[in-house]
Amino acid sequence: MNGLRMVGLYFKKGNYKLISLIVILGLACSFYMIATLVKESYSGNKRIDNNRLVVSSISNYSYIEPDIIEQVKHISGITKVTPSRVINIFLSFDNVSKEALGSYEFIIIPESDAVSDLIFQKSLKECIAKIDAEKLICSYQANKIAIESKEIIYQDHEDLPNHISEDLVDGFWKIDTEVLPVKELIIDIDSVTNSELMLKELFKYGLKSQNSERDKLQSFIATEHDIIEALFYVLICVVFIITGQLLKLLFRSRKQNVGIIRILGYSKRTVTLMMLAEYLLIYILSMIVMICSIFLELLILNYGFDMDIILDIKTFFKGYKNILVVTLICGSLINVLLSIYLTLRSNLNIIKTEVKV
Amino acid sequence: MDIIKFDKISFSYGRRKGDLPIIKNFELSIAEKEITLIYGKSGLGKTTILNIIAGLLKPQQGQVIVDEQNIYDLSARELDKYRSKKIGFIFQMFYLIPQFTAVDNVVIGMKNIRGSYQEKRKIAMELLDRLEIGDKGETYPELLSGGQQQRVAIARALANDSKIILADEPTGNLDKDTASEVSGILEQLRNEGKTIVIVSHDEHMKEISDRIVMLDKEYMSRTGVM
Repeated sequence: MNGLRMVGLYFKKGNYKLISLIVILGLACSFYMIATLVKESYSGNKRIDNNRLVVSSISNYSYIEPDIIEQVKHISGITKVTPSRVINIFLSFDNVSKEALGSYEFIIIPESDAVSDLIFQKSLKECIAKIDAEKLICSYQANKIAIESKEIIYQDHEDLPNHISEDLVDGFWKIDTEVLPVKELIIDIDSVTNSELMLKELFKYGLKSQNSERDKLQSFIATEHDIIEALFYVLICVVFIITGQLLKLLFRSRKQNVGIIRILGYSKRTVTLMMLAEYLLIYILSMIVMICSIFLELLILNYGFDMDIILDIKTFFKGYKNILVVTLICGSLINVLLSIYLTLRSNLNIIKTEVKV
Repeated sequence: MDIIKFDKISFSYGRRKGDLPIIKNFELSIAEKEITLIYGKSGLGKTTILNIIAGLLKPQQGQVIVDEQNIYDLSARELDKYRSKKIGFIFQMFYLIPQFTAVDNVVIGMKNIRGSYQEKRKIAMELLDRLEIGDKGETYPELLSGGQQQRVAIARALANDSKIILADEPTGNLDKDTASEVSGILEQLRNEGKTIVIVSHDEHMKEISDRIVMLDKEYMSRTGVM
């Protein structure tokens, strides 16, 4: 019982120097999170999670219409849809590759006077032909062009196919997603009200979509994003290795304590518990510091409380191309655990190894 | 009356038997309530003898009888208990726990004292008061002088009210005046009934010793009485 009390005392009293370590660990972890944000902003619209939404716009304007972005933000609940993340590719329709278009799940073609322009129509038609997105949203006027190049399920109010319900809600028709084999869908987004409702339906449906095959293909395409990602992974590895080394240093500093406490007559079990209690404390506190600093930094960066960022950690570990990174991180952690084990082993068995305090 | 007895003890370091022999067929008797000084040059096995008494090093041959019991018949767990109940350790380098204050360093030595943390703390403060460093109770070791750290280490050695105090070069890291003060404390403890075994090559320790064990180069012992 006295031994357990001493575990408590060691736990309570022995950690004043750990605060600096905990702060470093917390900062390292939050640094990881910031790096995630930076990586995301560099990768543009490309997102890691297949289930998440990627929005882009094909527009004849030199800028993305703010109301489109606002609608997307409002309906999807994704706050990070900023104009800088939406690519205006109108002026370079001819240069748009199928791969580039394929990386977007939703492509919005807003209402435009230029749709009546023959050159624009030709470009748009070619562009639409290349589109491999599962959801295509375009203006009423653009529909007519799209119809010619794609097998369109629905065109407009007057020509409703059977599988789309005529239950109008605020002038908008409800899509029966169970019946509708949506592959390519063109819907009028002339009115704001209609487009809002339409987007709601599409997002509801779109969130279930999977494009893993397409994403796999794209992951092999070397782009500057890949270079940035590679650098990001290296950064993550460095952070974890430094964290691992800090933990190793901590346990090296505890080596002497293990010897002293054993000489004072405490059992191996008690001393092991003391060390584990301390390790647990570091772990819990570093997690608290990490979470707090993440939210603080998110607030500072005006990202809001976007839980998508947190989810990125999960998806990061799921990514098949991150095997090397995961191996390095695991290696670093194993290195730390091995160091702890060796420290305890050599100092717990003081009877065999002499008093090495 | 002898409290510690070495009966033909042989000990060598190394994995194979016979590697680096330190002591051979060593016999020693240490009387109760006396100060015994084990004296000799470095490398002759003085600290090894102390570690054998503490149950930290098991000799390859012979018996170590402490308080009428062969300590190497004890299990590892019983040896832990033996160490905490009967032995108090003082080191040359003090070996205080740097993350603990002086008083907590003494408290952690109280393995066999029953009571709450506050009660133990009170006892620890009394010990520190007795060693004239009561005002440094809340100070961390790195802020204490060598002499003050050694006093804290002595308080820790006394914390369990052990019968035997083993001191490994207790004045080796101290200046002359501080060493003299520490010697005085050890003498006082002997007068209070503690058995003290000191390992040292400090000539001044002879002055307070009741018995001196001289170690020579051939690992033989000669015993003399001051």
